[in-house]
Amino acid sequence: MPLTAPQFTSLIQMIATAEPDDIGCEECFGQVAEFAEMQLSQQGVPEGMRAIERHLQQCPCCRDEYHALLEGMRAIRE
Amino acid sequence: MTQDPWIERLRSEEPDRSDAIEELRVILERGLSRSLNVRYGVPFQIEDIVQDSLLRIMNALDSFEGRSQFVTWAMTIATRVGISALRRKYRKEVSLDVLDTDDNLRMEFQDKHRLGPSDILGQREVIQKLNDLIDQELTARQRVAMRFLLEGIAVDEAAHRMQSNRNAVYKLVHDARMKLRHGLEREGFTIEHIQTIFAEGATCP
Ligand SMILES: [Zn+2]
Repeated sequence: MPLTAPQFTSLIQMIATAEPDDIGCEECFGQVAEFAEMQLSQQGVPEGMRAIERHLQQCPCCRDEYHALLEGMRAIRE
Repeated sequence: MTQDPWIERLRSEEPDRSDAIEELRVILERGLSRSLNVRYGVPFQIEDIVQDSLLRIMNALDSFEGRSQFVTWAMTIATRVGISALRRKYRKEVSLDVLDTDDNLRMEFQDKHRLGPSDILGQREVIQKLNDLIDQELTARQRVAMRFLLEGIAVDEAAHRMQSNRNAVYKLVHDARMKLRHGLEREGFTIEHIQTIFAEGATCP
């Protein structure tokens, strides 16, 4: 079955935004708590965490969970 | 290294242990109520999700390395449990027609809807090249994984259906994206050019 026009547009976006990513979802999961705390305290991203940042840009699943984590943590800290 | 107080309490004798679990339950529920409601906006059984999360957290205590606060670490687990459960619950039903299990599965584009007769932007050439790359450079599993995502299915859900795991499916898709990108660039198409010619409204009359 052919792709619909919106799917085709998504495909082009997926290709256009592809960047090297050195880690996978599991590695990201192992460090995302630390990364989230840095974001919540508005610290910059240290060199050692760049890979997490890149993975979150590339992986919609991890990104979705990361945003949910930030929202949840804000609710807990209120 | 000193033991995190949470770990100590969660491993202590009763009734301290139960008190700590109860305290953690309240915290997780507060966090997840916000984050999951924002996403799914519908009533659901958060108690079950919190309970499931607590079990996972208790089983994973050994893997807590103290790199973040304990509660943040626990919330990463709970968030994944919650979102996975809700993705399953609200998953899109996708017709199996689009997922021909045939090894030759390829993506076809409805180019007739996009291309004007004159095709002055050169879209046809890019689509042809893209189809060639998909056929020649992607594996059958890469094509299937890409197709799942384009159908709006989350990576972990696609992993479930492909009897794989999320990490592996993510990698299939990521490698496929990179292959297509490099393939197009090798042919002399820049990403900026491709985005421009397929931008909304760029279709020729
Ligand atoms: Zn990921």
